[in-house]
Amino acid sequence: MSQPMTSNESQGGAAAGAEAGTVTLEGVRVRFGGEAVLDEVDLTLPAGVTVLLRGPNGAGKSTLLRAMAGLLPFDGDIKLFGARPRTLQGRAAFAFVADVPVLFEDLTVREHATFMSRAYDRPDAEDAVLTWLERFELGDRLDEFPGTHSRGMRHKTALSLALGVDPGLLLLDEPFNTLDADARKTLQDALLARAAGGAINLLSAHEQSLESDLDARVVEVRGGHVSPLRG
Amino acid sequence: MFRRRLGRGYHWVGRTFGWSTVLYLVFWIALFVVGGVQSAAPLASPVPVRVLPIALDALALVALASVALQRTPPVVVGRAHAQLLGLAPWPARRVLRPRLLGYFVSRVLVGGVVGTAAWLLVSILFARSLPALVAAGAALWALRSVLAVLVYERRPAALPLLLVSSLLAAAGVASGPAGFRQGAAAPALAAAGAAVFAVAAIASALASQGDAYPAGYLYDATVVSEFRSAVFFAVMTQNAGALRRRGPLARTRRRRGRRSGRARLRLPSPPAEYGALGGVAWRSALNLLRAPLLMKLALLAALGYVYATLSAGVVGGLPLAVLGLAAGFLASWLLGPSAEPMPLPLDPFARGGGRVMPGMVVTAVLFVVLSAAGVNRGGSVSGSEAALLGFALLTLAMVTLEKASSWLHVSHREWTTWGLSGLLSGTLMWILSALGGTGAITIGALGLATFALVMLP
Repeated sequence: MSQPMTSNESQGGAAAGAEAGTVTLEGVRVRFGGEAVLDEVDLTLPAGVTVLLRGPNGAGKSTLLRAMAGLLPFDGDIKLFGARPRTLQGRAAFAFVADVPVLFEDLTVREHATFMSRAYDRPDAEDAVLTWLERFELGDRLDEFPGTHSRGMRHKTALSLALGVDPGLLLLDEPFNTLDADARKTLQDALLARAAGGAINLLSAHEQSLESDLDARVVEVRGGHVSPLRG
Repeated sequence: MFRRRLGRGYHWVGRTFGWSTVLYLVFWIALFVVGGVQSAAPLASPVPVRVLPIALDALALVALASVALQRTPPVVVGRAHAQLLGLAPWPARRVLRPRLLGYFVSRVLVGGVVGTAAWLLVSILFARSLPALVAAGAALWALRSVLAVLVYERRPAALPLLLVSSLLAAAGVASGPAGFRQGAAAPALAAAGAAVFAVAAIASALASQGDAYPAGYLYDATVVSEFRSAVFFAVMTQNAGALRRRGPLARTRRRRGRRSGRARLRLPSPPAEYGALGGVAWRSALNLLRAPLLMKLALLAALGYVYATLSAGVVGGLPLAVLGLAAGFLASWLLGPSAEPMPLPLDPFARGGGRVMPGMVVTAVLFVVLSAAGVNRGGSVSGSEAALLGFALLTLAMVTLEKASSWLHVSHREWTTWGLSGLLSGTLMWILSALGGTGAITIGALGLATFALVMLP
């Protein structure tokens, strides 16, 4: 079992080389039924940034995130701190929260924390996840199955799992859509702290205010093409 | 009401097909069937009779297990029933009884036809005349229909019936070879026993109706407008103060809302030093622990069947390959859940080993208990040998199923996946049986399973 990369490790010291601290996409192309949804995407994300993916509906933001998570086949090359997304090292380097969060319906919220900490081989992650669940005001719902929760609560659970595991790269697909005001503030603070600690946050969102709230850099996605990193 | 429906059905058939056409078809079909039966001749070299009980048991197992795949409600509740329900106080038993009785009678008739076909086939293939198979088929279909109703209604109170029927089936399996060897199947006794059992099973199912209306019927069988009409009537009746507090619709609503979502069965967290393997195994064990009680009992009964069959001396050859298919089905229930579609950093050994481990433990413990208790049909294989062989077969089936479902990205509960892995395991066991006896098969199968678990992605 490989050791997952922590946010501190993901900053990449001199020994690890420059590649270990960054996420790079080179000539990435994703096709659906012969049509290129993403075409020749080149992008480099340095350590310690929050990056907002912006663009109209259907532009390819979610597709880009899913390709980076190894959930979609793609041409080109994606390196997450030097590892490809589908390898063990690659999977240990990121956590992905989809716009419709994926949870295990056979496990309670507390059991999710246990299972994720074992899956990532990070015993300390269990307590960290429980702490995030408390911050998202789910502390009294830990022994319930997520199938009985609302969409917003499921989103909070998925975010707590991702934040508790504390990977080098966090991929979030429209994470603010279903959150209440307190939860939005909690997530904003968490993303700011992660970026300050050297980790990378990549999220898709439509709100203009997030650029300043998260001190984020922006990538425009339009027609399957992405703009260079700005901000 | 029954006569009115019968009259409507009669006129509908007459208008749609025409009664002359129906009678013409029935006449010629009957003629062909009778001609086919009369021209059937036994094989020149009959199939060995020791295969007969195994084949019949396997067919019975498949017939009973197919209840789990049933998605349609056993009976359809119409508008009149929904209105009777809405206008309580009609008890559910009274509302459902006519339709359930019709369902049971039709299924017993179907079972009789299946039993007759089996009687004919057995006489051709095995050169044995077993008229008791007609009654056995009817009883089996009666049991199947009762199980279908109980599974559909999710009635834990009816579990003793399942337990008793499983024990009876096991006893039938145990006494099978001896009866066939002696050529004395005691048809009259078997028919009487089967009839008593069928009547008792149907009576138990009807009695289980009690006063609780099975909510599923309303959800699945009533069209929306009918459901709305029932709710409307219920509201009207409630306003009039006539609806009982614990009335059927109130119960239906309570069932819909009874989802507090809190886990009642828990397992302590696995020690952190066991890592991903421990985590996956823990989740698989939780999944087995939280399976419905009915499913757990059925699983244990089916595992007992595999042990009983193996201990009867069915080692090697085609029966073992057929048993592989049953093992594939059992493996689909023993195997833990997949981590897909969440992209977790699980290596193949931790993923596969963790998913397989609890099922292996359950199988090993049960087989050791059965072996120690001396549950043996007096075959040529000792209890410990049968236990080892069964353990190896199920382990191989679980491992191949895990690999197949991971590679194909198809759920292990899909019949295509477990069927494929069951066939593969059975074939491998068959090939191994050519190399030697029980020991060679066991060691070979466990070796293959270990190789697949450690080396394959």
